[in-house]
Amino acid sequence: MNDLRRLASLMQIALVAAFAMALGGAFIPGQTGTIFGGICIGILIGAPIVRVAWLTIDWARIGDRRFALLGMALLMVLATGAVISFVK
Amino acid sequence: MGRRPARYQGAGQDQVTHLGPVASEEVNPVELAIAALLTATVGALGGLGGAILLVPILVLSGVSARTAAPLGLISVAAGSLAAAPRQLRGRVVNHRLGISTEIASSIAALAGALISGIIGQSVLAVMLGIVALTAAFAEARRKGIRNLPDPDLGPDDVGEHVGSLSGVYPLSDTEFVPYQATRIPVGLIGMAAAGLIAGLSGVSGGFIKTPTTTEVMHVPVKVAAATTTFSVGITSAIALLVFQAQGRIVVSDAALVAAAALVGGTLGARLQMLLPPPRVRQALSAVLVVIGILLLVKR
Repeated sequence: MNDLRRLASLMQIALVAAFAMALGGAFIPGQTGTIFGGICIGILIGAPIVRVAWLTIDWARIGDRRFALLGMALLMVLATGAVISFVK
Repeated sequence: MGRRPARYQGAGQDQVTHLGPVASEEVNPVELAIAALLTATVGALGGLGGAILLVPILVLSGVSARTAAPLGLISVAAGSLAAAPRQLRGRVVNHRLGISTEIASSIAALAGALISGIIGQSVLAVMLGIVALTAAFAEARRKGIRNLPDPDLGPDDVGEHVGSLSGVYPLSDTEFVPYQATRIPVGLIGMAAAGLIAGLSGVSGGFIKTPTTTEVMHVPVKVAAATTTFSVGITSAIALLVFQAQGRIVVSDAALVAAAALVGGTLGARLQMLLPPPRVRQALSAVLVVIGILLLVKR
């Protein structure tokens, strides 16, 4: 459970950072606003992937191999999907 | 949606601030922020993702589907992130269930995206509308609580179980309910259908995933909604990567939607923890009716 608490804290930091960047992206003019907004979008894309990777590592660590493998499978599906979409 | 007020135009230097070649449409930022806030709140409360509400609202307001779809996904991703800390601390998400079902959804979503040109948008809207109304009926039909509290369980038992698709969730401060996901193969078919529809339409399949998890797999609605909020965040992340590569994300509008949806998602997750399951189910059912009607009108 401690790992879930750490993950919750990490998501809290991501949430606060995304919100600050979102406000900057929405209301700061010019290139600076674009950079803030771009970072916000990057956090929104990265956070769930980090969460899945974190859980996969955690499950592997505690010996829950079946679900660790499923987590890895999902990460591979997501990576494949991203590659196919970019290539297509 | 009306025109941008003069004060807001400065945020985009009178021109569009974007990552690619999409020209910004005139979107009233106040209306956009309110719509994103409300839809993200409802999306996180019912585990639907805000896009299924936000995208039809934007399209009905005159925004093109090409612009509305990425904003909808931003709303879903932001709502998912906003709900994450509270749901993780409350240990209501069943991550093993979310990841297991997300594999089926993601593969189907990819297939859907690849064949998305075959089915007309009008036919798809009718299909989605009927699915939403059917799910609303299924949710509304059931009364009471399927999974009852076990007096032997305490706060330390709350969470998902290692090595299985089961767990315990808190019904109140003193009542704790065990659950076990059932009919996994049928549930996976439902999740694949949700993914296929998401890939075909560009909206998250949360409005199918949550009813499938509750009505087919017999997972309590609070756990189902929280788990779906987690899994739709994964799908939307990948879809956003694609939209970014295609240059379809207008950063200033996306940032505004993200800010509002982060607030809405936090509120929705808080409400979900406070409301009793029958209330959550009623809210979910009511929202599904609205979604169904919106989709049928939109076509």
